[in-house]
Amino acid sequence: MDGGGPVSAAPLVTARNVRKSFAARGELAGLFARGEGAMVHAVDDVSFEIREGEILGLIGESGSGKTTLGRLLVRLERHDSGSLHFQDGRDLAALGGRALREYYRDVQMIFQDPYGSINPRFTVHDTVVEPLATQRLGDASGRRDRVARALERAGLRPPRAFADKYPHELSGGERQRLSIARALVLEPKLLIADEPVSMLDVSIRAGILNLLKQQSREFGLTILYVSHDLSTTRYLCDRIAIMYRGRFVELGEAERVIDDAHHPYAQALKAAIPIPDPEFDRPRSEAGEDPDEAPQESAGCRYAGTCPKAMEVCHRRAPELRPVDAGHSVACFLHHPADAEARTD
Amino acid sequence: MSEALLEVRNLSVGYRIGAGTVHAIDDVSFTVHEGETLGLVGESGCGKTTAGRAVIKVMPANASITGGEVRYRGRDLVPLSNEEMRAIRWNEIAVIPQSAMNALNPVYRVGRQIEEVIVQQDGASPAEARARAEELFRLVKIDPGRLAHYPHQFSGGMRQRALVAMALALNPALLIADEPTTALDVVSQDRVFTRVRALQKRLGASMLLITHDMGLVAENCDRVAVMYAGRIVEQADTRTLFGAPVHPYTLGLKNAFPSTTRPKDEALISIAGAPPVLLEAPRGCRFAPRCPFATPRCRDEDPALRPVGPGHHAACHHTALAGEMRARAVLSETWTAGAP
Repeated sequence: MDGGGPVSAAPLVTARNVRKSFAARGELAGLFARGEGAMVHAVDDVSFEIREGEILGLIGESGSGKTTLGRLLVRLERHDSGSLHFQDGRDLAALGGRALREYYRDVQMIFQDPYGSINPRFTVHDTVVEPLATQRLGDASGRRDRVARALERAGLRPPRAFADKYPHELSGGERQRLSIARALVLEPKLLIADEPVSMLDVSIRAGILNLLKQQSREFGLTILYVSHDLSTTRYLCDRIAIMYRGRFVELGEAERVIDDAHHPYAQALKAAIPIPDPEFDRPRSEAGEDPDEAPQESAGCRYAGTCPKAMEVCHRRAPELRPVDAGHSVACFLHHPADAEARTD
Repeated sequence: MSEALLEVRNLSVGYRIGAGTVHAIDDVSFTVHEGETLGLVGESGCGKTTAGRAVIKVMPANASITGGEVRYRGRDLVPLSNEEMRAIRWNEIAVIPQSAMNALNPVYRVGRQIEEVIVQQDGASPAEARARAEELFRLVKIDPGRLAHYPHQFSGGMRQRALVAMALALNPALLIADEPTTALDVVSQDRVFTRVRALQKRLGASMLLITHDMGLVAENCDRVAVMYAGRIVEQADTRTLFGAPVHPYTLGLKNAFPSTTRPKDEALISIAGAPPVLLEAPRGCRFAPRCPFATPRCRDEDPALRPVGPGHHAACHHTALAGEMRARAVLSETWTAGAP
């Protein structure tokens, strides 16, 4: 799949036709479903690349599969089919034991809730040194230096002022910086950041976004930024993929995907965001009401049931993600009329 | 200007906790006029939710109003008994809460919960209440057949719309909407809030919109009050607040708020530091420790909310320098170099 951004860079991650399903888990489904339950296709036939040094944004709403996709890349989940490869040819499906542990030197993750992902009984130093101990890297003084470097890099300066503090002594923004320091201490190539600023206040948020940007620009860190928020994603990312019900509907250079959204779902998302400028007259979406019933799984486009522009073919076949322009791909028959006419049977 | 519907005067609320009292809001005053929407904005812990709850006196057991008045149509609600407040909630002032899941009882059908409010508050017969509930559901675009369903059978957006229907059941004159859509997905947020606004206009109701979302404020509020650390720091009509803010905190918020309409290369600027803990009343201006323009006077002397223009108030010693502060505030070095 193509998009804008640094063109020459080799992909750090290559995903081909990746699928991941879970047993449906409604509030009561577990009580009544016996044996073969319904399956939810969290990630459904997704192919993409993460280029070395880029910040790729993954936008989607709850249930879009964006978080699952991030978790597949750090092997918190295993994909059902398709392939996921790291740059040097490592197959994520084959990693286990020692190979998996070594993989975490290259790939780290930070989460939405810095409270939930940090041990409250560990000091800042204990928290950041832990990955080094797990990986059996360095001696005590070497580790201290690496911890100090990571704290510095994450903006917890001077490091010695923070090393002995406990998480409850830190502000929300500092706590997220701590989890970033812990992720960076192994000097990974890829960071998966899952909604890293959505729990933070606006005045703090910008600092974390700028910190992530700096990691990419200064240290060449590759980042997958997973979020529901179009504004922060557009600000931070080089390229953006928009997910809807397990599929990529649009992918390309960040500004193009947001400012010139092609897919009706991407357009509806953009049109739904209030603009913090009283002089700005926001064009409203013509999209219909959100359906009150969860749409049935069908062979067609996942958005067809809601889409104001759906055609007959959209209910029968799923459109493929294909270029509309250099560096901009869309999965929609409206933009690929030739695909709509093609016979598949 | 139209008549004042709600006048909050010098209101203070404290939460008793182990170590003492947290002064969540301190000497807060604002007015909501007939038919208008006032935005109460600020970040977590600034006291905006506490202020909204104090108005209808639905507060946690360890919270109490320690001073001030809440005048609704001229009558102070603070001294009223629970019984007297009950006659005002729903009928006069209704709340659209943040999380529909917690606000609806999971074991009762949604219709029953709405009809109960109508019967209890309005003395309507069960048949009248049913008819009214059906009409309300049509207004919020839910099939009235859904009244027979339980909350878990609703999508998140539907639950929130059902709560909107419930809040509007008795044609209240004032709606208090506390982050009414933040629990929803982006597209549902917009749909639900658009519906709320349409119904508000139809009823001619006023709204106190409590939110951290500057976009929601810019698009929906007539006037805005910005809160910081338990105080109102700036208050103005919406255009003035966005176009010519004077308080450094408002200037900082404006720099930090991302938007899809901003040039991508225009840097977002954060405000270093964090708000104070409100266990004891801080000395001087509460924003001074994070303010790049603070002077020794700011650290000593608490600035009062003073008029700076027509309908425009700010609590800052340096409002005379607002033009210069505005110009410097857009530079990121102002916020990195100046901060202590």
